[in-house]
Amino acid sequence: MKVLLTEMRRGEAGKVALLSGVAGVWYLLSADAATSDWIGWWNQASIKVQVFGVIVMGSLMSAAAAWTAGRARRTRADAWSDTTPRGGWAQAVLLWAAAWLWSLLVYVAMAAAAFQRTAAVSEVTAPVWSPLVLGAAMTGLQIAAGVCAGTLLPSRITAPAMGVLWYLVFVLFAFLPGVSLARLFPAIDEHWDTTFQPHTGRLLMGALWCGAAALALLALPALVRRASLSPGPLVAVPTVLAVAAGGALLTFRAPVSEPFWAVRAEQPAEPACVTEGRVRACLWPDNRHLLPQAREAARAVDRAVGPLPGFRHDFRQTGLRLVGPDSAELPVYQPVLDSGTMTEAMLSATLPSRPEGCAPHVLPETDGFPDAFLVEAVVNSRAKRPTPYYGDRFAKALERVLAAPAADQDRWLSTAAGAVGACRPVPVPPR
Amino acid sequence: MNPVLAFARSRNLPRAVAGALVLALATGVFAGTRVEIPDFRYLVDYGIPVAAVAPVAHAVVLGTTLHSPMADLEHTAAQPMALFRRLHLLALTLLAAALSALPMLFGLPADVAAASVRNAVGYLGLAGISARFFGSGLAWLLPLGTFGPTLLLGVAPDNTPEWWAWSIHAPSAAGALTTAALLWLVAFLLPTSPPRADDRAEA
Repeated sequence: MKVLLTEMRRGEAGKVALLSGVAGVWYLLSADAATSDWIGWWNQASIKVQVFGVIVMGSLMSAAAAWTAGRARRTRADAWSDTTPRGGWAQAVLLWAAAWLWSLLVYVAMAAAAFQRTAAVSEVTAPVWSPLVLGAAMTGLQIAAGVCAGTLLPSRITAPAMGVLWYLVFVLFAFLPGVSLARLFPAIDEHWDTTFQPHTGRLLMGALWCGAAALALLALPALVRRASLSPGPLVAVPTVLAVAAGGALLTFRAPVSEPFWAVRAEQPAEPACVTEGRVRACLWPDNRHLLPQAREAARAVDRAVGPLPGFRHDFRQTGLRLVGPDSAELPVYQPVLDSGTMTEAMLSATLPSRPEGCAPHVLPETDGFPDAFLVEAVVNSRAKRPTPYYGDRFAKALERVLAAPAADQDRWLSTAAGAVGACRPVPVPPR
Repeated sequence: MNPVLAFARSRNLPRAVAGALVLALATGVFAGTRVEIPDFRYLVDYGIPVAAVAPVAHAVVLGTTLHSPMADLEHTAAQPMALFRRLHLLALTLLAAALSALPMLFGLPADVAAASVRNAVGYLGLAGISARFFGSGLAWLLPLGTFGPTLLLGVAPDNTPEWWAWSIHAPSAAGALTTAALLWLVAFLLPTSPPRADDRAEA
């Protein structure tokens, strides 16, 4: 233990970990909650820390470990260190543990920062830990690779080369998402909103692979250099574990277009819902902090199309089961939304979608644009939301509809919504 | 022996220059290629030319020459070594700038070459600062430590570079140029310190 603490003080890993930690904590604390895609969602907060920990901190710590491992050769003390009563494997494990403990300390600080940001937004407390465990284990594997490379190739360029190598590995796998080998070097960079939950079994299997592979890798320098105290048969234990866990990871299959490290969350017993007039909006319970915005949006939609038949008045956040033809999917792409954005999402979903295979119809009045665009523009204008500019002729048609008597306008909108849903042309706008 | 040549040899400069030259030639071969910048979860559409990334490698390779194998002797030398150290950094910078511009022979546009030279200056400044604060052996730490987050977090969802990711800004960005110049200037002006224990211990 005392040797470990001395190595932690002596090695360069502490400085590198501190540098990574400052960058990581600053990045997590300076993120803008209004535009962030993770502050408010526990899954995402965990993923964010994991991916930063592995890609940025892990790569740098691997380089630092390689540098530390080359110290004995650089200082020409390798002959001396080879004669100590401690075997090569134990020496490598010591260097690895000293660097890994530093990275764990920083990792905990980053997780605390991310969870604190999320707790400030979310109304539920449900920290997600399994991606963090995998990330910690993966940094262990990266550091072990650094120790191994630094011991076997004690050149001054080995350390930065290790850092660059890890960056290249992650960039390469980012562009080859279907490659199974990427599961053995996990840096999970996926969007897990509230419709997903971590696949704990696979994540823990991944952590087991990383831990066992790290320990087996650390025995490699002693085996290659034929150290006087060789690792012995004990090295078979992590090797067998690594082969078994790695093999299992490569064997697992995820359904097409589904993430490997996550599964769809089960339907909640009670979604968080609000009702305003004839409009109802339901969110996942973990998103109940968005209920005030959902209420305001529902009120705006009710004012615009509430009494009109043909439009959809029941909105369910993506992933929640729809409850009939009047029910529409409500996409929520980030954990913090203002009521305006939520209103626009609901207004987009209120018009029935065309049946599959139905080609959009074009009105002469809309200047070549699909007729549904005019219906959407009228709905947005009634809700006092901005509408895209599709040209002067389209704008004139829109003005004409908005200037029509309320009863005519309502009748046209209802008929038009029904027509869009039934794949019929929208009737000519009222004059 | 000529003292300049002796200094260059003591710093393993010929080997580093050869390595950097190979890098520059490789950059020239891939002069027309762009590196797509991946970003956490965002499908950003942002790429930078390979030539603008290569200066990080130049800084890492040339930064290895900041290590002195006889730091103790140099510290107690009658001739002040601070001047030599600054001339060394200046020479490295000119070399890195020339190597960064070399791919122009392979058809690299002038504005990209300008960004490449700017990045070479900035990253060498970072290497100098890193060597001063973390030890000459860790000169690579700050260039790589800043390049990683730049590569992975440096682009905002609206496909524009973050303000702090200066090395992927457009060649004409005044802020990026100022940052690079400031980094180099800090490295140039930093006072020499006594050799660190790590440097003294190294063979």
